[in-house]
Amino acid sequence: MLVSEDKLIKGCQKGKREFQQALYDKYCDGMYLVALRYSKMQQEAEDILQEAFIKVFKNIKDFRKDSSLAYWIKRIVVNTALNHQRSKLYLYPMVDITELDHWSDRESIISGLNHSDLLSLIRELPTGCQVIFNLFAVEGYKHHEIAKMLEISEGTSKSQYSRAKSLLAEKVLNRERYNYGTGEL
Amino acid sequence: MGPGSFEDNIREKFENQTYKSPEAIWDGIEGDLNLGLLASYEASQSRYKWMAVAAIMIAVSSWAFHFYSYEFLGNHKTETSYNALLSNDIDYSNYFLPVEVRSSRRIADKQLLIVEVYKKSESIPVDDEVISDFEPYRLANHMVPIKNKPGLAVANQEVYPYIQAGYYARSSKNTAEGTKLWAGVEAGAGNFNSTMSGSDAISGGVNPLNLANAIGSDGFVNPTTVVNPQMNNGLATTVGLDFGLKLGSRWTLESGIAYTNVDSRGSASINVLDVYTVNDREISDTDGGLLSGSPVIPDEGSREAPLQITEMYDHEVDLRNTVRFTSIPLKAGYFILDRKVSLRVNAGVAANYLVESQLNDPSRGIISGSQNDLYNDWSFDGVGGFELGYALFNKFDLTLEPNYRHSITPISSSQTSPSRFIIQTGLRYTLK
Repeated sequence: MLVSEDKLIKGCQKGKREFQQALYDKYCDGMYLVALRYSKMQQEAEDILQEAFIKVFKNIKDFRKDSSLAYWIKRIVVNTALNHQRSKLYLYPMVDITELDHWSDRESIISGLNHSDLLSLIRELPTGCQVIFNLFAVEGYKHHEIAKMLEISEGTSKSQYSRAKSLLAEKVLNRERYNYGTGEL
Repeated sequence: MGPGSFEDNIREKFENQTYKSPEAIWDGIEGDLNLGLLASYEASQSRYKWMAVAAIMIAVSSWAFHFYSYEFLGNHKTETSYNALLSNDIDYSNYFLPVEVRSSRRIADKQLLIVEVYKKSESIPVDDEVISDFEPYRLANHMVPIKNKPGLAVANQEVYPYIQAGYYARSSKNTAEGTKLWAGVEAGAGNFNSTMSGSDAISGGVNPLNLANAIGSDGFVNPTTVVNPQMNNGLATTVGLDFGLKLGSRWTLESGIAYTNVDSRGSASINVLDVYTVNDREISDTDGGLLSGSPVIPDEGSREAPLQITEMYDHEVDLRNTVRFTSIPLKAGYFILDRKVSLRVNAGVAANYLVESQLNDPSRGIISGSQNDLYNDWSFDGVGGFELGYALFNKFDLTLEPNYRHSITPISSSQTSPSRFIIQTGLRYTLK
């Protein structure tokens, strides 16, 4: 169904099923990638995506055109993902850590990855690191904003982000060693 | 690498990237949207259900009150209200066969099963169109409470069907192939035009002694003829059984048996010849001749002698006529609408057999007894009207049928052919 975004929004606001499905079809794959970045298992990502779109359809009457529809939907997906992860973050609270290995070249190591490899490595991170890496590096939030969202200190946000980068770089190197058969895992 | 450029690089990697999402996710979203629709439907349904119950109770109470009230005369109507929003109008067990479980998802503490089903038979019409045998049709989402293990086999779990609003065409009530047969009970009330003439039969029921007592005469009272009884419209109440046959998709044939009681009131003038004797009175012929009905007053000094007086006048008598007869109608009908709410027009004939007719003077007992001569043993009416039906439950329909009956051969032995307008309510059960 090819319609303009305005008509799509109006149709969804009226609750018309065909418009709702068209909106879902347009954004589902992009938002599924967002959900995958915040989850560890596929089932979890599917739950996040489903829940997020249910919220989208329930709240689309309140959508104002001060931002793009895609950005609005993405924010809902990210918030839904954070709600899902909040219980885990509560069980395993993040604390300020001292980075023991401060690699200077870890960013270059990570930057060499394609998005699929980077996605799979991000999903292997501990939950706190995963969330903060996504929020800072991918979504573009500032550390003080992240601290407010997750109810942590700014210092914790920074240190967890640094740790995320170290872990990602370590994983990249481990993979490379495994691929070259060094046997040192 | 400059400050901020690492994050820019990471953002660029994910920009405009997608990952194919599973198709079942939309099914889950759709299920939740349907639940929202159902919730709003159910809220309004609950209100309308109770309103319908209250309306039916008021209608039945009103009818019962008027049926037992002897002072009521004239038209009598019963009414019911219908809830057109009840959603349990489709018998899925007869209509759909689940074929396969397409997928399942977990939503909170329930397992959502998505099933693909197919219509059962090509001969089942839907919206008066025959649907081909294997047209795939998505049914409702079945929400299953997760018991001990999420992977529990489908067959062992309870299924709570939810109707997916707007995803199917509402079916007609033809859940069975071929001819449909029904039986039901009916009750109704209406008016009865009981104007009658021909008073010869009435005079036979006059009790002269009671008439004399009513008049206050000590002498002989001879009722001659009753002139022009005037009856008001009576109240006709009827109960009965009916059964019907549906031929094809729209036509019906219906018959049954009904017992009707008619109660009407009026008055009549009884022409009375009152003869009595006046004793100890002197009489004289004053102006010559005795005028009929004029008493003679004796002058002073006239000879006293017993005087026989004859008076003729009309005496008004209240009348109450109760007629009971059985009626066997035969009607053809045509469904204009046959869904959860149905509308059928019907017409036919009815044969009436007189059971009993009672005519009496309620207060004085001047006229009493069986007056079957007032009515014909057999009479025939033309019947026409329409029936409004509402499918209550599976196979049970509530009906409201106003109809008009006009005499083909009059029920009354007088020249006047009484007609009647009746509103009936009924409960009908589809046998097959």
